Amino acid sequence: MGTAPAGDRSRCNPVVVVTEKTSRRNPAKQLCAAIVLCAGLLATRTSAQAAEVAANVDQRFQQVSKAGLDAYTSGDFPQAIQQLTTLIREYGTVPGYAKPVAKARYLLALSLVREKNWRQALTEIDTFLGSPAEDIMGSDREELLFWKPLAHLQLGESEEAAQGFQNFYRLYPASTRRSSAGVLTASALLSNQKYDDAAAYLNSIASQLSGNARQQAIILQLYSLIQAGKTSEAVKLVNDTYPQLDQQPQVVSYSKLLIELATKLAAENNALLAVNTLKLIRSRDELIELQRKRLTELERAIAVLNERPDRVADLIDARGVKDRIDADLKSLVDQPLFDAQVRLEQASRFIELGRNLEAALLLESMLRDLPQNPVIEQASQTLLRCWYETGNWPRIIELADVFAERFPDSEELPAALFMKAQALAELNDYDASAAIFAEIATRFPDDALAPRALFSQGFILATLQEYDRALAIFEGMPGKFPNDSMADTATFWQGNTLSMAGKSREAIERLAEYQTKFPDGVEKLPAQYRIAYNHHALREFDQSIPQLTAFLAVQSTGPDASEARLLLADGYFAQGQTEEGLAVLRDVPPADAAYFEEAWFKTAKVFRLQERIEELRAHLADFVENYPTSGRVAEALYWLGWSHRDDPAKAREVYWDAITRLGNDPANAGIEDILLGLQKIPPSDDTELARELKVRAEQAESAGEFVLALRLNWARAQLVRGTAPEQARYLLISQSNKINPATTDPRIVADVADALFDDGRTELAAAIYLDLVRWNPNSGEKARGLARLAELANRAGDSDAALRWYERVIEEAPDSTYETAALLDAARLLAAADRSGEAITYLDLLLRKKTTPAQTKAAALVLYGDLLAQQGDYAKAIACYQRVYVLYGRWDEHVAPAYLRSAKAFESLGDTASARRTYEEFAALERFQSTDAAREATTALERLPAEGNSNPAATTQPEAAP
Amino acid sequence: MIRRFLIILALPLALAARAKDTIELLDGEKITGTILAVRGTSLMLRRSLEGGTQAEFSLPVENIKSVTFDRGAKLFELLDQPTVPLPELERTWTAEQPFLALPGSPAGRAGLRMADQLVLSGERADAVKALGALDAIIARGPDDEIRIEAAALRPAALYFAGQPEKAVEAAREFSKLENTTPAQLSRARLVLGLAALGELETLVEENPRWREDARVKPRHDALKFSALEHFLHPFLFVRQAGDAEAAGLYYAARVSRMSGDTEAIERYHLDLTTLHPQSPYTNQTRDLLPTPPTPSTP
Repeated sequence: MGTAPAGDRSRCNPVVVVTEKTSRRNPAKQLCAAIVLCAGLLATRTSAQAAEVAANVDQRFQQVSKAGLDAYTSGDFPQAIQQLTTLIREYGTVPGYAKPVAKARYLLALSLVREKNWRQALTEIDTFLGSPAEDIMGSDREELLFWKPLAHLQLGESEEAAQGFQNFYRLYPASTRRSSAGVLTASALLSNQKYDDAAAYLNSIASQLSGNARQQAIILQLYSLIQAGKTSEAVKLVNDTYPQLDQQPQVVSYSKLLIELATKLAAENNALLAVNTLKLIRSRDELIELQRKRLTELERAIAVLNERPDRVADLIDARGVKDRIDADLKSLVDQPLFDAQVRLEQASRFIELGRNLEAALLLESMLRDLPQNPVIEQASQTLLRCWYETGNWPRIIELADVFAERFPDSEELPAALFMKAQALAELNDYDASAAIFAEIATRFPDDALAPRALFSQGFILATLQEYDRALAIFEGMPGKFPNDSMADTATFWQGNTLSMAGKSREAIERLAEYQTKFPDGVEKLPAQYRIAYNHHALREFDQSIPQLTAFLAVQSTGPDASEARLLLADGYFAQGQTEEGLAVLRDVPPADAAYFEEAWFKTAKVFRLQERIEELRAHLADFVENYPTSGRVAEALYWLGWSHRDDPAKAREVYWDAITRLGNDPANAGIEDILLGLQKIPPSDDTELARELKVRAEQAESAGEFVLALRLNWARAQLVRGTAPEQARYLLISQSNKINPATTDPRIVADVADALFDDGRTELAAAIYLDLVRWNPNSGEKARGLARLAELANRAGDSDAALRWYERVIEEAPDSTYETAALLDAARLLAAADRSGEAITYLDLLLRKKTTPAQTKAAALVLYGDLLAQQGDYAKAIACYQRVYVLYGRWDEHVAPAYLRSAKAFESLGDTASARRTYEEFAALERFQSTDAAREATTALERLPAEGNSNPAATTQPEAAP
Repeated sequence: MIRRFLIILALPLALAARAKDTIELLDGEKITGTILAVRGTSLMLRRSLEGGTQAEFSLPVENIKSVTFDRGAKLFELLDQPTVPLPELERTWTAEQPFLALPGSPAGRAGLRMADQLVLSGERADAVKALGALDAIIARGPDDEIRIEAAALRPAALYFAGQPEKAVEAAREFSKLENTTPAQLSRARLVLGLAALGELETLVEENPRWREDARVKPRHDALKFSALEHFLHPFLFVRQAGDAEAAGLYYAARVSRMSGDTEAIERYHLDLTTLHPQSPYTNQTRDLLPTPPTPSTP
């Protein structure tokens, strides 16, 4: 009934009716189907027609026609053809036989069809159709008008076939074959590779089709659109038809077309629609289940059709679909990796789009949901790389472990571990990273990554300043991996590590060995530079100058080049070749900001040392003018002011000039330092300076230059806070509305908040401290903000909040001046909350710190003693207390309780003699005599027996204090 | 058969309703009449007796296999439309809610579609209304399928109703259920994503310079990846996910804004304009794009 379209059939051939294919595979089956079709046609009509023929012809005619009909009905089509041809030849021109001859021709045509004699069949059909209308039956005409294009289709005359089916479709709107004709029209067009026409035609008849024909048409239309390159229409068709996929008999064909569409979309750089199309493809299990269900339904339908001779055409059609489904199913069953491949394809498209996150999520679902297979193993590697690209370090670490567990024997395991080590390094966990690199090198010595892993381990150790271990690794590498390119780099790094360790002489020797061993090595230039660098470090300028010059001749740009210029200039200066040095410094490019500024200030230093004052001033003024956001502007101004050291007024003028011009831009860091520097210009007159700051602040305020006004007022508060703290406080408070936490210098923010805090305006102070902490995560002032927030919470009685802030001080500002106080206050809160274990942990930490102030240590020891005494450990408690009055006797507020509690602890131990002695010792201290504590001691002495009572178990040898 | 019914009241013919609802009992028997109400565990039915008298009957709901309402076909047709105006859904839900427990009742479908629209508006009052419907469906829905569907929507309703902690708990519980579809799961994940986004927004608000803060950045990244993973679930895994996909992409753009990743916002906007050009989320995502520079005048 139809043919597969010509063209590339290897990818996806969705054509649903495949007579030609079926015939080729099973001619008998095809022939049989055709016979049944005609038999069916005859079954309803032949008896009456035969009688009609017989009644009107002579005996001869009756004999021949009977023989023809008998042959036809018995399926002997060659005999039928012979008899019917004879009849037509003998009676074709005999008057009065036109009707029976036409009927015979009809049967002859059908017999020829069954014999696949398509050309002859066409001739007979055409002759039949050319007969006068009154001689032929309308139903016969309809029948042959359907078979005619089919014959054309079989003969490869697809254009005529398409026209014929289209004609049939138009002429017989009520025909049961109309839908088939519509679908076959498209098949014929596709055979002729008229994809556009087929798609347009199917689109035009889509609404008139229903049931299986509609579903077949969808498959053909999708195929046509894809082949025609009309991908956006194909996408629309998919969007419209996908929700009814459960009704599609050929779900696998449909899915294959989705893959083809996605491929086409991707080729058109429409990867998004490609992945969206691939997403529609159901899992292999789902597809197989659904397709088998559809197949079962189809097989039931075929069984019914087998019993219906009048539906032979439908039977053939259904069998064609079944063949196609069988093939699809087999192909899908034979693809156990189908799901993995589809998801991998989706992920690949996302990777093409640079969307590693989406790719990673897809690949991860593969790893999680699908059974273990080689595709997944490979995909896991891609997954790790995708997460690496997105910077999801914790996930890489986690997944590398999953990979190691699922694929312990995988060849890719070293690569997975390598990425894990890299991720650990990204998270600053260098020790763990180095350990994984070491594991790779040890467990997989033959893997290509082993040298890189070992090198990375050495590199990390060198970074951690574990030079000896790093050096041992680099020294061992050439022996372990003599043929690996990393041996070259490792040899260079032997010298470089020695250089980093400050062993310049050994470094030079090792680097020279490298140059000999690897004259064209990948580290040739770095080695050249490092040798020069180490000669410079050894002050061997006669060596370093030519070497650095030679290096710069080869490598004139980059950080190494800029650093080399600084060294070279230093070398020249050391040799007294000032101008050569200055010339070199001028070549440091601004792009290497840190080196550039360093070069600028080295130049200034030379001008200063050589008293080239005018050049110095011009040079520094140039810097202030051109790099106002630099953190070194204050330094430049300082030296600019210094250049006017004989003329303080001029020096101040220089400062004021910079402050006035640059001070209102918050981006110009360093203005605060310039303002503080103003105070140091001799002869300093704080009153005059304070007055000038006030006047200029008022002027700035009037001019709407609020940033400048804030800075000036803050500077004035700094100036007067020693002599007029109240004035300083109110001045700062008055500036609180000018603070922009995102841009204001954190020192100003913290000082204003402190002023509010001291003034009791705690709510506003807390808000500003919070801003200080939020906007300045790496500023030293953050510790102040955190400590004050803790204090505020503590004062407000919110112990939980206070503890949280204290913990942040301890974690985030471990070496700040606020840390030890935070440790003590947190310990106090914990002690009050009966969390003595945690309190003791903090106190231990506090007492171990060398930076802890003595007063804080004294307070900590008293608290420590109290906690131990609460636990009944009086001996250790006494040791703590004694340590206070022995070592920190200066701090009376801690000494008094330490004595009293020490004595009480002795009493608790039953050692009244030691208790008495301790009370006496304290009571004898003159400075405490009028205090409550002294009176308490006196009362205790009156209570205790005069001689005391020593407890041998506690005779006053307290255990060591913490 | 009549013995299985309790005749409540006989009525004159004039009061007879014209509707012909069909009730199929568990034993296959079919009864026609007019369903009046469901009271407790009983169905109230009006039907003709011999002689044309109308009578009300009570039938235990547990004996009913399915119910075909006379008006059902029309309602199901309405509910199958891709878009149904919210007021119409609300009217249908109100009218059909009494029959929610009956198998074959359109009430559950109407309630779910109404709740879906209400939840997606993101408004608290709407979410509260949606929650009421969903809880009713979970309590009285006729089968597991519809109850699971309601349970899938419930976390989002809770979230927008201002109960984020309960929402997250409900979403986590739902995620553990078996036999849920990817589409249902994506609704629960939307809530988990919203919770992560909320935490992320707070984190960024409290730490505007999180990039420079080694303490905060890992937490930021963890929340970002968690939120994105939840929000992108429909985009990556749910076929024809519709609004859920559009919502997910919009929220993914919100996450990206928190991270200052303007390229990602542009990508998600492009996804939305390509896949969901008509969705309100597309416009909302456009609003997240960085403002294009104003052309300078010569």
